[in-house]
Amino acid sequence: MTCADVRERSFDYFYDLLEAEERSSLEAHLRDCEACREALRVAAEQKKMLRDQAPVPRGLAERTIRRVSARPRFWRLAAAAALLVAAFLAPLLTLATDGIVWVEAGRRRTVAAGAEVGEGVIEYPDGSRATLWARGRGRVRQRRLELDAGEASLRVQPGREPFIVRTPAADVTVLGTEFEVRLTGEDMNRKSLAAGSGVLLTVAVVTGIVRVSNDRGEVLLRADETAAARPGEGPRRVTEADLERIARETRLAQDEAAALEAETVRLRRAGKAMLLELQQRPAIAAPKPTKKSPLGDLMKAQMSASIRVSVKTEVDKLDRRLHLSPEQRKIFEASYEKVFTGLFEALSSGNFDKLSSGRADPALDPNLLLQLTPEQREEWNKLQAEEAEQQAKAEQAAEKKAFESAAAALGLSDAQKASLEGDLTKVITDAKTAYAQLLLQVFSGKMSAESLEAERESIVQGAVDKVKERLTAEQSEAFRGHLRKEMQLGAIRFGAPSKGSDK
Amino acid sequence: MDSDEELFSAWRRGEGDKLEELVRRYEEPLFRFLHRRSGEAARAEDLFQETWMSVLKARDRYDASRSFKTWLYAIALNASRKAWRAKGPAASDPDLTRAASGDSPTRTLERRETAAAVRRILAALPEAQRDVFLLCEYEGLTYPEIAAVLGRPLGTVKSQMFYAVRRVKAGLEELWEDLR
Repeated sequence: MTCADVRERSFDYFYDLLEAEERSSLEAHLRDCEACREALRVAAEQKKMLRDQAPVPRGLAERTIRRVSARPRFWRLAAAAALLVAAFLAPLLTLATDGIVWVEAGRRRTVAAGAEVGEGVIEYPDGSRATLWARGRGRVRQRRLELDAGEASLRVQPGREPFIVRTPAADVTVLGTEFEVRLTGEDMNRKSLAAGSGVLLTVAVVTGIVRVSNDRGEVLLRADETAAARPGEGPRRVTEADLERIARETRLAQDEAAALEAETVRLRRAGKAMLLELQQRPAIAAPKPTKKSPLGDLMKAQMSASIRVSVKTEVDKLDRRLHLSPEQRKIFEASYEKVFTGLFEALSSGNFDKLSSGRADPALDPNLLLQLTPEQREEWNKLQAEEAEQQAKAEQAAEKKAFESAAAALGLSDAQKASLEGDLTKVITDAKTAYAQLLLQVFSGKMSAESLEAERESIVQGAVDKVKERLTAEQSEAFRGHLRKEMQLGAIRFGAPSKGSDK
Repeated sequence: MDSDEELFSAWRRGEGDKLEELVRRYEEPLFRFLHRRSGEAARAEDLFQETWMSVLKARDRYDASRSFKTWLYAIALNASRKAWRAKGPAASDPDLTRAASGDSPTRTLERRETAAAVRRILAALPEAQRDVFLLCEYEGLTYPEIAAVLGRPLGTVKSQMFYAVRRVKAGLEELWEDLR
């Protein structure tokens, strides 16, 4: 290779464009030629000029991230959508979140699922009510009464799940009604009841329809009809004459039977507080207990109205700032409609995991922004930044508030406050988030209302475990109570505006 | 440090902050690439954002067994070509942006002038050669990688590079003389 060749091909050498033998020939030449070594050094300097670059605009990555992730905006939209959904589902939500109340001798107390109850009134969170008369006893769960002995009168609200009264003789499945259940037997001892000996169930229906069923058969009862069932015998409809015979058979005195009859009549006429008529709620119209989301066909019309409102609100807001042309408006409306429809669909189909991880792709079509003039685009960016900031501020304020209220409930010392603020805030926020997701799962029919309570407890337990080493034992318990309360408050705030009036 | 591919996969699984990490990681190289290619900072910024929006849209089409970088630059090139078709070539860069910090005013001025001159040299390359040269010089892609990004045979890439190098070398020598 000559000196001219070397200088001609210096860049080829740098950029690895030489064949192997050309390369070794060039390198051999360099070893012997001082001038060419210098020329190559100059060429390397020249090549370095390629690296002189104007700086990258400040904040480019941040601006891009804001645009790409669009998360603050998404959460705002999702929160709006969730509120709308919650408004539809408020009655179901209270079912999911509130406790069962047992009113016994004028004393109200909330009882856990599976708790033993006796004489008194059971108020179910969905508005259903069961009155257990003297000697009545059993256990309660959401939309369940397990009656071991005695009599009960029930008034049941329609709901997502059927209401079932379980007795040793048969199950009574309520299809929306008011009725009485009476268990009689020689021996009221629970053991013998469980074995089923000598138990007779009578069911008298006041309004609506119930199904009485056991493993031998079933009977559908309408208003003013009565059925009887024993363990090991299929339920059957009973006539007046039958009733008398039953009374004899069970050694129920005639006058007692008459008294029962009279009591039933009295209840039917009077007991307004106790025997209200079945109240249909057209707004939710008793969604059927299916695996499908309660946001089924019934909700579709309301959803599409909500979507229209949401789209209009969003686009109006943009219009005020960007002054959209009619064509631009149309394009934005179409795009927002897609976003909201996607959100609602995800919410109603229970794809919350997808939503919460931000993978539902709620971002607007990026090409949309190409429709804007540079000035509009700038305004758009400003608007996005403002909204993100507002959102962040609101979230921070809410977290701060949550911490302060926990600190007060726990009686934290100043030193504890200082060292715990960050961690405690995170624990509370995480617990609330997890709980909100649970609620949404109940909405979508992915989780039964029964299991909600256990799940909630496990969230509370997990949260307490995370901080208990830094709290006193009393504070840990106070934290547990505080979280339980917060979750209920959260639930009420989330969607049941009418709860406060329920006394 | 996680590889690009690991970050991107994590993001696709729902870890939102992983994409942010990628955007930051590529802030400088990808912006510079688009800046050199388009010759205009404002347009490069638009293109930078468009590129990531496209990444967002196309994420499910990404083949995790392949290089993320290659895929990203292919998207960036696409965005930049689309913009070129829509808006025509950029005007020469009016802004020349802010100075890199830490340099003396004289050095800053020189740097700007040199940078502008270099951009002119690069902008004068035929498009096919320019892409190859930029990907090699600034993005450090190997020739097979460039062939993958551009979807051209390796031999074509090498020959385009050969011609690009000649033009760049001549331009730099001239600039070198001017600056003496």
